[in-house]
Amino acid sequence: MFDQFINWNALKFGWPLVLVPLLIHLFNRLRHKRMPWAAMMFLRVASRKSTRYAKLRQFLILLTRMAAVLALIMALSRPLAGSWLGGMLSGKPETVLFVLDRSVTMESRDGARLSKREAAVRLLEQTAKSFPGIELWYLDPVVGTPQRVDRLQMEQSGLAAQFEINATDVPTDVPRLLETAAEWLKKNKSGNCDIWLASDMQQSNWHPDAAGRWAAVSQGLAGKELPFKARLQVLAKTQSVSNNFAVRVQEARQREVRNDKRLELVLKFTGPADATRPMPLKFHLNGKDVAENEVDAEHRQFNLSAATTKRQGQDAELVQNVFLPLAGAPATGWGYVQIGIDLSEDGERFATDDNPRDNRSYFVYGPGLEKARALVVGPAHPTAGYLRLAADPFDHNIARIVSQDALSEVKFEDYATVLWHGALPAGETGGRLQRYLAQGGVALFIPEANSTVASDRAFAGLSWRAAQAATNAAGQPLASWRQALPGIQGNATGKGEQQGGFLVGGWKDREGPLANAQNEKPLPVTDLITIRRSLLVDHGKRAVQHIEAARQIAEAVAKGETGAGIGNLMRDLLDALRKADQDAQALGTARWPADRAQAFAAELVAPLEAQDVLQESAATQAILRLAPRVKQWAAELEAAGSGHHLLAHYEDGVPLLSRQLVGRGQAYFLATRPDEGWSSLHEEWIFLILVQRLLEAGEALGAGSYSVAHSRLVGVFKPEAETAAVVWNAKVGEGEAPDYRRDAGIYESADGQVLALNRPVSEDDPRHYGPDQEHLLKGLMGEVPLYVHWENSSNEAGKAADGPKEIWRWFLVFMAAFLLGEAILILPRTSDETVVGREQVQPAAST
Amino acid sequence: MAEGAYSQFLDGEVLGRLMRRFLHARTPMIGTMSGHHKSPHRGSSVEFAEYRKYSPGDDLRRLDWRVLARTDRYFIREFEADTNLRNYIVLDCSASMGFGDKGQRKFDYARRIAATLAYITSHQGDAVGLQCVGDKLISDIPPRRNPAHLRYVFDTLAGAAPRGETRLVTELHALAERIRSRALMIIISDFFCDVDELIHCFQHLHFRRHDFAVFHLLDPQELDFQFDRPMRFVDMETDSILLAEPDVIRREYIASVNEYLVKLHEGCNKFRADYRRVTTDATYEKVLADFLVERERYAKD
Repeated sequence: MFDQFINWNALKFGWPLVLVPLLIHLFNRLRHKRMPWAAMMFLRVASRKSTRYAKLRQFLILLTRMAAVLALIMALSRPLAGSWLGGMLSGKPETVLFVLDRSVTMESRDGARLSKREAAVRLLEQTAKSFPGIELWYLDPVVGTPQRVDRLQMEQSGLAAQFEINATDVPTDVPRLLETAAEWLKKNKSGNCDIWLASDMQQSNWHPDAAGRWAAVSQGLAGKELPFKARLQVLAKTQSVSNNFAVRVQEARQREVRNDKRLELVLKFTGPADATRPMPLKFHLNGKDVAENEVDAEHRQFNLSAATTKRQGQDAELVQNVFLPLAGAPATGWGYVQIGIDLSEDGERFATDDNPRDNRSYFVYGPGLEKARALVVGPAHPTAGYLRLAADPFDHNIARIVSQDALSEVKFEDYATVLWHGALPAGETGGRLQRYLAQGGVALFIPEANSTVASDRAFAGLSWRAAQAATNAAGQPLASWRQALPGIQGNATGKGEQQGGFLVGGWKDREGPLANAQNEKPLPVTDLITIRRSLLVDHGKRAVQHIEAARQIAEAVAKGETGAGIGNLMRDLLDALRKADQDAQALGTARWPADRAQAFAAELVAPLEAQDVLQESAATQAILRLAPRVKQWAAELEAAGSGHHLLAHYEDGVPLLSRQLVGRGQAYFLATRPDEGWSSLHEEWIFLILVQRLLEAGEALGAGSYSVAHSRLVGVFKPEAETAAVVWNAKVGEGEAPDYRRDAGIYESADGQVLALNRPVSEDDPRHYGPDQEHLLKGLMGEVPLYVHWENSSNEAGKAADGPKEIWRWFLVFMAAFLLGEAILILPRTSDETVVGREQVQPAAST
Repeated sequence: MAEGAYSQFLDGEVLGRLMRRFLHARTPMIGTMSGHHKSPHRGSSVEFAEYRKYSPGDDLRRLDWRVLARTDRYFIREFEADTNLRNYIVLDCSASMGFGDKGQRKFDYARRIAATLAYITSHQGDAVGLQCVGDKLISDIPPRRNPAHLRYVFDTLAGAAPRGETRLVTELHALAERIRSRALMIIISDFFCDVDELIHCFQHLHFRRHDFAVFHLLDPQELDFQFDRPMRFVDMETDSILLAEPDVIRREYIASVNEYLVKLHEGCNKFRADYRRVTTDATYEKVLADFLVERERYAKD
């Protein structure tokens, strides 16, 4: 019922006092005044008639007294409760783990004194007081491992004295943090745990699309295999931000304009749609501010009222190109753009901005900008051209075609997205691509042009089957998608009567690359005409099926159901385990690490292979020994082999577009090709939209770390992947002592490389979860109890509105109520009835 | 002992006032001697009773000559017979009579009534006897007229004590059978027994044509049942214990007492018992004075 007790000992040692009224009651029964009585015949009758009521009254009196004592004890123990009283039936945690979202959006303050992050820190500190005597730990998104909280120091100086809790430009990856928490709990056997997460509920932090990761989180925290339970308590700092402006440098390129070297910056501004006032801009180039007179007047400010793009909510987006003079500047340089600075009051931030952290965007520039965003991998084929065209429609040279043979010289990490057509990657290339995806990359795989037979190559647990072709009325395969068009000479009867092709049956219009447009209009996916397609094989799913079959065989043997003979059962079991092993290995090392695969084979397959089938008794014993391990491995395979996510499918249910999560990245599998002999994809708008959205996702996910502008405009920089030998020193950046591992800024290495780090693109996502979407969060958490404490929209920062509240006063009220009830019950019943004919006669005088 | 017993039960002033009254029987008595009470038989008193036809053998001295002279018919004049009274005082000596909430035990009150009535009876020349009934017939003193007998009665009263369960009903039935002639029976008890059996007993007495008066002695606490806390009630006759909360059961208790009293009163009326409900907070002089006055009035009517 209640979360915690501040004075737990009062309840722990005081509860026996509840029995005191009962003891007094029993003792009093022994101490009733003894009264010799003559008229027992009347007394017996009266007592017999009043027994039921008298007993009920006695019981109620006793109950109210015990309840009053209990209420007093409860009040003394000072219970705490939030707004989720109904869900608080589980016990007291043994460990409390605090997690603080330190992303950029947590710096917004909506005019309040404290930012969301600062208010969240206070809430966590207050929450800590609610867990006296319980181990406190803190999991920092940057550090990534839980650290123990020194309670005494925290009470004296707060969390800031022990941990780095300042603002960062690192995105918060909630599922990753929870996975870390689950592993830590499992490793440390920390017992029942409350995980308190303070977050602004930005949807991009929660990665709702990462179903597989959430499944792992749910399994890890639900404690099915572990002797502990975990609850997630979310302090949702969701107060609206009504007046925030942000800037991002999208591109920085050198231009020659009338023999005048200039730096062209493509800036994207976001802010409230109702902003009418022009906002000033400040430019900083190579260590000094750009003079006002060197910038065209229209480029010194921006006005969102001119924005044509409205984002979700009340935000508006404006893209504006700005030219800065580069005369005399070095060929390689750096700088930043800042908004919200009133130039008349130098150094003062614009007072009305709610989040100063996103008011600055850093960039670097250099000669020969190589604009590479997408890597098209595959043989020379028109399809490669289509893919490149879709990735770079304006021919900005940001998409590159590379054959599979030349991949050894290519770093996948340099690209936001990999578009792969041809045989699925394998070997060393496959491993590199897996690592790229695991770190947040995005790849699109389409089938080989000549895939007439099933491929034995699998990637991320999926592989292609032989292509399936649509046929005409004569049973001949169609050669071109155009042949599938009905009445091509003018008597069209609509797509519904498309002949000889495969129709699109449905697609996810709320998520993924085929989601509705911003104006909520659906994409014309049904325009796609497919005459050839490849079917996917989900090895994860197959592995789960095989291991399940093996488990059933083992269980049957354990129950003594050996009707088919123990030899046959053993052969079936071995066959199922081998198949499961093969399919599990096809998942790739990211999902089924090599050590696990070896353990699987060693524990399950090898013992059976070594067993002589003819020795039935020994075989039975071997299977019985194996049965519990098969069950455990089945659970592990089920977690690792979670199936792909279907984003679009044909009418007959065959997948058209599927997504498989690989670590932090995404692998998309498209069942058809942009090819005359396969489909009309290359002539459809959805192809362009699909590829562009994948690029966007790649940029956002890839920098699950940071967007970086250096020798390339956009690439991927991963601090954790950097070698320790490289030391990046800050030239300028966010915070007092910028650190490339957490703060945006300009950094320079010892060998003179300059790096621009900015906040992740995902931090600009305006979507946040609200109270009406709590069910979505609960869906993500599965069986793990989740309690979200939504912040009051009118909440003042720093006010612990959502923290657990002391409710001891209520118990005093309850106690008073119980005592009042007791007093009413014990009031003597006023009965003025008298015996018939009875007169009050004065006592006799002495006679 | 005798003087002590006298002073224990009698108050001279009260007796002085009560002795002005006469204890009358409400129905004709059959005595062995001439007295002040009506007899069912015709006798030689001065009070004319009736005429009846002459039968051979009648005493010619009682022939009404004047009627013979006027009507030429033979009529005999008959007169009321006066006889003495035999007063049986039945005292309940069961343990329940020992109850007294404020120091005044019902038993003491009963003894005082019994002693006073015995004194009055004896001094108006009638015979008085005493039956003390507890869990058995403790003492059975037949009626006598002489003063020495009165002393014996007083000594018996002084030696009596309340104890045991009551066998009043049984003894009354036995008494009704044993006393063959009509007599006055004064029963002093709290009557804490089955009311139906008691009424049946009164019916028996009535059938035997006894004139019986009932002094129903009750303590005020037994009627009011006013307690301010739960009590452990101990049955004075059987020692059984009952835990009760008086404020909870008082309503039912009063109702039960009322039902009992009404039933008893109706039973007494039905069988012409002279019922007197007496609470021990009333002065016994008033109780007895009312009793005597009412009987006197009844006798005159």
